[in-house]
Amino acid sequence: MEKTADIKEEIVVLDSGIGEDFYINMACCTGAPMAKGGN
Amino acid sequence: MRGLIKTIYIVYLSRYIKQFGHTDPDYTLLYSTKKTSAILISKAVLKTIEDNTISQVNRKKLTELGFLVRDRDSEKKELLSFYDEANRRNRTFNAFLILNLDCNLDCVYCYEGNLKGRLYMTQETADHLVAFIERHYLGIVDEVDIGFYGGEPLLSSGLIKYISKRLNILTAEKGVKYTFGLVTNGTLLTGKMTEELIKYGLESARITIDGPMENHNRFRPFKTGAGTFDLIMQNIKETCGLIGIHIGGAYTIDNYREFPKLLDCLIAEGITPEKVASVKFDPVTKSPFNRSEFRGGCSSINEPWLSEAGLFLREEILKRGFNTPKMSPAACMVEIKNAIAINHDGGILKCPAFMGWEGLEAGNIRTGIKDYKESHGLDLWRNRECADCEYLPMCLGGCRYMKLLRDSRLDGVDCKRQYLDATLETLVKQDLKYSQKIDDDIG
Repeated sequence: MEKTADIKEEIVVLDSGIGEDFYINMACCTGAPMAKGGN
Repeated sequence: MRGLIKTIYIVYLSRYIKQFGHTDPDYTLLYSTKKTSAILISKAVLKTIEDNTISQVNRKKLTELGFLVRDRDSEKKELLSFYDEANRRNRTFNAFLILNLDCNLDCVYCYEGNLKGRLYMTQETADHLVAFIERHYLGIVDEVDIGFYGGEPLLSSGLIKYISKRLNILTAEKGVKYTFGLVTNGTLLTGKMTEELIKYGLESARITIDGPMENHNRFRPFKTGAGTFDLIMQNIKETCGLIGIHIGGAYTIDNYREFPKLLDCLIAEGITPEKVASVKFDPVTKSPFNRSEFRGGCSSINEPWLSEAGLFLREEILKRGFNTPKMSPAACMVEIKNAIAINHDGGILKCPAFMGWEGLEAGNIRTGIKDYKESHGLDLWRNRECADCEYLPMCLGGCRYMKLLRDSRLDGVDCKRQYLDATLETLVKQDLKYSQKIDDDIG
């Protein structure tokens, strides 16, 4: 999974990202709503 | 002549980037926390940024990817107005509807534990709720996305159909899209039930399975004490081809290492990665409403064992080919204007986890939303320390519920620095390693 000697370009784009996008976290990042009992 | 004059301006590295090492010592892995873009960049090019001798081609490329900015103060201001912009652009109304606080399960860590009872939303409240959505949101959004929540929402399946039928009609009249999902324990979500609810707009369900059978049945039994694992697995088999199934699971410091066995069990049962929308495990969270005999649960993402546990489980999920959420700027629903939770009695909350907390009701569907800016500590992350933090886009003040758990008040941020310091490099490299686009470029 590693690339070393064969890198040719000065900049290799691995992921062009999501630009200005974002998502609304309706299920808390630490999982509080998901971790509740019953659900 | 004017067309020949080139404007030369100085560019700077964005303050919202992280630099990670690479196996080739001549290269650095740069990651933008703002745009989630990632590049390998030669140290020679990095030097040209410092010297301001960067080529036009590289300057353009790096600016587009979010690594270079013309003015770092403007960039900071832009980040500090993140939610203003997000609220301006957001054309969706998101709501959790807490249909009841009843359940057919008796989970040992239930965070609604002492709040539970035979408390159900009435049809009269549902009518007010539909009228509230119509009055406040249908004229200003393109999409209504409801998450039916509980207790166990499928104990109120009749009400789900009633509310959805009415919202389907009202949204269609306005050219607004209506969809809904379920946060369910999965025991009642049979294939038949799913097919029925699809007619009303059901698109996805979040189902919790706490690791392998023995652990799950100990943590999430029926009220009778009987295990729920086999039934939930059967229901997932019946429904995963019909709707998006998101599998969650709540782990503790003592059992998280067992969770990969669940992934193997899913695959062995034919619930293979392409049939599941996502898998994500989270730690059991503390709650003041836990049953008195329950000890445990975390109240901070910075608890040291969580870094190890989270990375370990994410790797196990990804390496088996399951989808899991990518690192991304995540806007907390507390700060999003068109995102609310509505309790079974009509009370409005800015997060379902605020259920039962005094002073955190943000209004009522009968009387409207009140000003919750002070009570919910909005904008507390708009301070100098947070604005200068490279993690700001991935944190934005952190989880309000965690802050509440620790201090019983929302008067500060839930800083994620310690956690992100310990995990971000690995999280980013996991995303790159398992991304279909990239299979050979990271070190």
